[in-house]
Amino acid sequence: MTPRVPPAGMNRRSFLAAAGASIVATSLARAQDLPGDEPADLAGGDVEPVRVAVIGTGGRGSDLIRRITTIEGANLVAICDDYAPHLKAAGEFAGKGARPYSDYRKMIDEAKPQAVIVAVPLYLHAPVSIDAMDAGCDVFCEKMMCHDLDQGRAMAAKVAERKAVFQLGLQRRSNPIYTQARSMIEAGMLGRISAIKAQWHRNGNWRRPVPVPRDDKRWTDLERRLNWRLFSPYSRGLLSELGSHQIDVANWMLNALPKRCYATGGIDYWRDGREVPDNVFCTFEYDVSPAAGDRDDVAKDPYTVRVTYSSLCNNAFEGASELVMGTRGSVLLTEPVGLLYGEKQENVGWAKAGGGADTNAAVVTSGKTLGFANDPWAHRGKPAEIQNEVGDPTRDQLVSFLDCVRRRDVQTVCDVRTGLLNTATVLMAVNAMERGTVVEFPKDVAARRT
Amino acid sequence: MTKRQTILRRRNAMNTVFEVLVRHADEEHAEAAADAALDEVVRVESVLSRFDRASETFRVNREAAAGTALASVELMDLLEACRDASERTAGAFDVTAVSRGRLGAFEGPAVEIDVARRRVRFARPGVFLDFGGCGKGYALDRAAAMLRTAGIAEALLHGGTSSFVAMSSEGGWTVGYQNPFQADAPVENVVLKNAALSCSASRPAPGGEAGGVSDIVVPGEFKPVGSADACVARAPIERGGFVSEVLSTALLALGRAGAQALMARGPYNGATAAWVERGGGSARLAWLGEPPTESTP
Repeated sequence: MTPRVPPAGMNRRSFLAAAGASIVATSLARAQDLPGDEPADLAGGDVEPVRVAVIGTGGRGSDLIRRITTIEGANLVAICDDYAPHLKAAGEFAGKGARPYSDYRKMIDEAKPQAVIVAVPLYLHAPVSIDAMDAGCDVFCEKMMCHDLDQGRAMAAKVAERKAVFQLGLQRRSNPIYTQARSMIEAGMLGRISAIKAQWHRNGNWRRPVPVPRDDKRWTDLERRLNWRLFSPYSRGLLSELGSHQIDVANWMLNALPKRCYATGGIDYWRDGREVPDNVFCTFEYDVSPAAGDRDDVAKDPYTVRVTYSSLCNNAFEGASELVMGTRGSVLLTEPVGLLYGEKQENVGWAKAGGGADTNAAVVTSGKTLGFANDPWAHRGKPAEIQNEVGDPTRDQLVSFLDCVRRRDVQTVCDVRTGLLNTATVLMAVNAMERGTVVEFPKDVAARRT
Repeated sequence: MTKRQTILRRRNAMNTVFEVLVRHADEEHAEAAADAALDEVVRVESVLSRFDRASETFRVNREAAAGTALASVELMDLLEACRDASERTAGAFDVTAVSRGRLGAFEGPAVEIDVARRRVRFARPGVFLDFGGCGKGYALDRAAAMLRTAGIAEALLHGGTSSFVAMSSEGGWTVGYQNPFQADAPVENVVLKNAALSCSASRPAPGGEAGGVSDIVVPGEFKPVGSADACVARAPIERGGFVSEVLSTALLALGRAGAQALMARGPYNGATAAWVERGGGSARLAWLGEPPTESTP
């Protein structure tokens, strides 16, 4: 192709005149046979290909399909959904190599995927995942793992029976900000963890638009199909769809399970026929052992850490974050950035404690003025940032899963046991809210912890 | 018949504000549809932003200088549309323009794309993709598609007030065009019906000096547009957000004479464009060729 750069001495006008006469070479050119594996047929490449299929192609399923198509060695062979408009829309992201199906059993039988990604409504996670494992597939299942604990126990048993590689889609487990925070806590950099405060606050009705008018006879069916998150037979509402991510962060950061949970919530604003609360507030109590960084005089006694969680649909203040609060500092965790705040006040230099016979004297100076700011958190000082330098945790968790599939490594970054413990923790809050009582962690599930 | 409500939803994205006006009898449905449209804008940003470390474009910009990067189907489709846009505008639209402006002249294409195998390779370190305005237009097109899927027929969407998409089965939406060089001048109204409209402008140089300031790069010169100019481009709604952004960017880069020549060739079917005439206080749109039929003076 002709270079687009004008010859020396050619000015803008003459270049454009030439450009106007014919199509010129552009900065972006087609090429053939650039190095790299063929996305749809990876035979002979450096990366061992894995045949992948996606079941459930709604919003989250499409997010995962888009990521899968960017991963070396991921050969997306099929996609499946029994709702045709979702399947058609996802087909645009999946590419021509992915064959569409409306029946997942038929898809597994014909397309023969090695790994299946399950992104169907919550109540179907267990049956679809179990069917896939029975067909010999490894499974990446979206969070929360399942709708009830019986489903979770059955999934865990199936993973063990089939020796399947199983990973749950709690992508904060693949986020370097969170893994770094976990290491900092373990090393005692925050001191003793006293509390965790987490929330996911949004302002909106959390509805997916139903594409037919309300008086159309198909409306009721489509409403329950598309807005399954709002109906209790299919979903556990805000706690399963949002809270499971953040409640897992608490279990993870504390390396513990809660003993008790108190919770309340209700349908107080969006009275639109939904069956799950539009606002929830929970407190979990964790009995934990002392960790690195504790004061010596309290180091031997177990103590209780309280974790509060709330989710709203009518005020977005604070958004989504988890604040881990320790005696030496706090870390505010969000998906794009973590902020580390020191706990103690800055030493402004006028008090001189310790050091000899004339200790505990104060030094008189001409005065020192602390800065004032409109920021109510200014007294915390400027936080240190933990940045996510490289990567998309939603994609990276899939890269990691496929690597485990290749190596037959069942120790995924978020395995079935973690998923079961997470589900049990979330269901404590659901049950406490529904029953109006304190709910304890189920003993048989706690026994699976090790 | 139930009275139709017009609801407005707003979201910060792409370093600006996106707004969606939806007119529909069922307010609850209108809100859900508008939220879905704005969710889609945010999703597109998470693919196209070159500043978001988690975005696909950030990854491609990191990987494609050292080797080849594997692009998603969506990103490769968009890159192919950008390559096509570059050809249609005689190279004036260039998705690598910002980086080429920094690197200066060099021989050959900055980016090679292998469409069938979805591979992207940069010619040298320092090249990067910056979708700029066309990314905003693409996001509006995707958002409009979400509204259509939801059964919405009447909606007006914009990103940062410089790019509009109007969906209408009735009389259309009136959009006022403000003189970018004189804020208190009377606006010129344009009616948009199933069409997109985009404006590109270079700001006057600071301190009253001659010339202008822009991040749009002049083809062949590899430096920003140096004059204070403005133009608008309008396209039919199908891919209209993308096409109108491509055109307004390319036309500003070309300057008025080049813009006139390009529009005479009809780079996109049904697309029209106007140069902003300065002087006299108002912002008169001088159409480069035939004005669009719905336009009112």
